[in-house]
Amino acid sequence: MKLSKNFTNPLAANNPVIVQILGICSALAVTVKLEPACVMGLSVIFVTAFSNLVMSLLRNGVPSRIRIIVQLVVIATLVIVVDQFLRAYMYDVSKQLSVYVGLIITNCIVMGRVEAFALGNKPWDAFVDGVANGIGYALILIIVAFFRELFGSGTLFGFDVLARFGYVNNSLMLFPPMALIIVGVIIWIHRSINKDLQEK
Amino acid sequence: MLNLFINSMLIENMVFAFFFGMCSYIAVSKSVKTALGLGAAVTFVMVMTVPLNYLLNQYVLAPNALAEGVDLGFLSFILFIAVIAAFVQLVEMIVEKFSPSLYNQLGIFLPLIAVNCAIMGGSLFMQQMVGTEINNVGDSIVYGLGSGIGWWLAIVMMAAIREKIEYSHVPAALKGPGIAFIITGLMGIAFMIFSGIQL
Amino acid sequence: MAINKNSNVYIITYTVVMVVIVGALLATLATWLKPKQDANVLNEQKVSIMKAFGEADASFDEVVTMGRIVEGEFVEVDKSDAAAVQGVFDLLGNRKALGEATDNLPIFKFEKDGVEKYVLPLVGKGLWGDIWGYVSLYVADAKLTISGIVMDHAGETPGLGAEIATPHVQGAFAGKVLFNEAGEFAVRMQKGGAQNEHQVDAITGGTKTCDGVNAMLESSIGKYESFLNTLTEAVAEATTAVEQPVEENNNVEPENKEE
Repeated sequence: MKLSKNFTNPLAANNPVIVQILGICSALAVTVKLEPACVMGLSVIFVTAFSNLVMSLLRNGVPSRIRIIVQLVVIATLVIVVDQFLRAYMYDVSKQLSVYVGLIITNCIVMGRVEAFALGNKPWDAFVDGVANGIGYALILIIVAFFRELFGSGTLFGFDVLARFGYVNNSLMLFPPMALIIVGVIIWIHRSINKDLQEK
Repeated sequence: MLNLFINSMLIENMVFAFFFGMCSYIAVSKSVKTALGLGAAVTFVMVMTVPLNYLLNQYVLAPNALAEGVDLGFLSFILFIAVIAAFVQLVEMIVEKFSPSLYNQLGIFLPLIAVNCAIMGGSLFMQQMVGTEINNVGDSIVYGLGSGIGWWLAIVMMAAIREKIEYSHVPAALKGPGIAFIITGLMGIAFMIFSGIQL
Repeated sequence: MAINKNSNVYIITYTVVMVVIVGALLATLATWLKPKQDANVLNEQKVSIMKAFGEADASFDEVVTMGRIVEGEFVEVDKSDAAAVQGVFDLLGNRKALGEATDNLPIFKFEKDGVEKYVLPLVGKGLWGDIWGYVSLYVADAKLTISGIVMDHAGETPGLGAEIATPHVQGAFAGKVLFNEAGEFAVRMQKGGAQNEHQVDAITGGTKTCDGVNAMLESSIGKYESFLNTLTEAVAEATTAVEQPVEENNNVEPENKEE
């Protein structure tokens, strides 16, 4: 029961991106197309899940004075693993993601979950928490990328969708500011439904 | 060089063009005073860490830099973040020891900076620009300074707008982060007028 | 089990062990995946070259002759010589060195239906960063003509300058004649629309990028000028001397050397 709540909570009610406003930094720029957004989402799920797992396993041995450094090393190592695999097996996508893979390190969600959850919980709980937060993050990326690709390029995953109906691409959607405005609108809708989150 | 400065400050602004440092940008932009403090700290750390990482990149990480046939490029993420974290720690200790009053103003922001994407992003972009826009330590300092000031500018402007918006009738669900995102988007569109400037 | 976890000894030991483990792990991983990553980079270059030839489905290794232009002459690079081949691709991968190179320039030759096409690498600067690509040239009616072009960019504006990477912009270059009557380099992306057989429509809103493309074409192709001139003359002679140009194309190589 607790486990499933831990899992579903970060997906909507306590979504790390739109409720806690964490981890937007590194990733909105990869939302121009769906494919890189999905890969970025998966990478973040992997990193949050395993950094939570590893830090939870290590939680009793880590000297508190160098806690932050140890966390950074674990996270950075996992990110390098992801980056190396992408370069080897998904070269095209890795080019599109460029430096943003490296920026998963400074993604506040990863650090935030390790610090707030993994250090005080059992490995399995921490792992589930990491996966759930990663998915919560990936969801937002994919929603944003869906709208940007659909209206900016008239395609979805590279397949023509709108173009065949004579849709003229709106290049503005491809510019960075539109990603911010879409996130703003998502927050708006989300808070209209979850009224308890609204600020007075 | 002036081109690089203007470019990194206004056109390829860390916040508006790359969304770097959004977390603290949204969280700390509620008052102009704290925004000024954080912006100053970010700029300072950036001016120092970008050149440090540049040297590291040139003399340790680049292919054949340490020894013939050794390519340590895969370690760049971990070394960059280590430099940034260590530097932030160092600054915190020095400032605490020599200027307690400054520490009280800046101190609370320093730990936040280690995980500020703008700093890490600055170093990673610098690494990509080596050989084209950035060819020596001077260039990397200019790039760090420009990016830092750009971020500073963005967060202070944002804070000023948010102080005013307190008095406006924003739909309840949009209050707080929602409207902040939309404002940032609109500011980003405004900043697009700088694109194409060539000096 | 009374270990003081905040003692310096513990912290230092912990750090050392962590560094060793992480270092070993990453080094193993990087060494294991490196060949695969390098192969990806190499393959991308080969695919781009084949796209410039307009033969995206053909295999680079089977049909393309690699060479370098040394003092205006074509010198073949033996494809079984791994070090020489690697040297060419390393240069192609290093845009800065490629942009500065003035001699010993890489070139690729491909022959189909009696027509020889050559691919040259391009490097230049767009609005924000590097732009690069490959252009394929051949001689038609005694004039150097573009048969195809591929271009890519580091960070041009999406929807504007970045359009240079799309097939519809690149397709417009096909059939454009390089030099005008006066012998000047004339291919360019023209603001306001193409007006003659040399020009291509520029991209609205992407003027700076198009200027970059123009500069890139002129400087990159210009380095091959003496070779291209001899090539044009040789092909022209071959066509006028014998009325079967198809077979006589084989003579282009030796005639080059007379120059």
